[in-house]
Amino acid sequence: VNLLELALYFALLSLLSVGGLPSVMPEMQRYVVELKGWLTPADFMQAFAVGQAAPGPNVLITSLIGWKVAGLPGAFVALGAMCLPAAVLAWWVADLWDRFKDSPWRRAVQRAIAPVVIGMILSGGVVLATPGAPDWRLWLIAGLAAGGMLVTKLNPLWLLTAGGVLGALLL
Amino acid sequence: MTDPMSEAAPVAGPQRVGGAVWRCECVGGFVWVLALFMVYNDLSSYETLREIVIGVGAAGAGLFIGTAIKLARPLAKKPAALVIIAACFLFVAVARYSLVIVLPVGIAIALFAALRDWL
Repeated sequence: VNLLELALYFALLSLLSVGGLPSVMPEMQRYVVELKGWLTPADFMQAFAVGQAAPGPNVLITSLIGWKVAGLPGAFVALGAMCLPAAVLAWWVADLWDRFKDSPWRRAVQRAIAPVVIGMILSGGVVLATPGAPDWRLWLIAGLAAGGMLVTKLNPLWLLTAGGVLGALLL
Repeated sequence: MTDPMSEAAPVAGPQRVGGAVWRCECVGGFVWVLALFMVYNDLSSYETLREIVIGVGAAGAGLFIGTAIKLARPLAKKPAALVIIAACFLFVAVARYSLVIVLPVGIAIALFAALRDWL
């Protein structure tokens, strides 16, 4: 795999990641698994799980994908390409955003982005819980984790641990 | 603003402190996640370990779903917002359209709705 292709793709994803990494997970899965076949659906899910289990930002999953695709250079290239464009854009936009804090356009943009981001994050969850053919056991684990998050104040790490235990018992 | 979770923190927050914390978090996390994945690659032939990791992945997916539901609660009484959420979900998760198409179109439609006070 061409490192340039990896860099360009993750740089594009970085600029699309309105609402954070969860909102681009469906696109990442579509491209890496379905279009390019760089990873199998199970590999992608396992990379996601290891990325979730590690401390640090969620964006670290990109380094695992880069590593699977092109070794250690791929890990650095993918992570750098995912971080740099968004950081530069944030640096550039932060001042501009402050300057227009009383503008009705800014309020409209904020209101407009919310439902789009929610739709993307929801899609990310469903796509990740369906790595290949639909599997009721994965949906059950995902549903219980979602329910646990909504009705309890448990630390998400406990929910991930419970998911691991259920995985061992059900899968 | 685009932001894959925290790489914008050093520029969006207090630069010196946010930057240092973020660098530690990211470099430490990067080393840790690669080490964990290396160990996992060596041990992934163990069926039980694979099942545990897949279970963790499914729970992580559930956390995304829970986050989306939590974020959607304040919008529950706004039909236009629910339509936009549902449309984004259908195009991205079901029809598997690219985000490159869905995101700009979705934001344009949502902006139109927001300017008319539907959101």
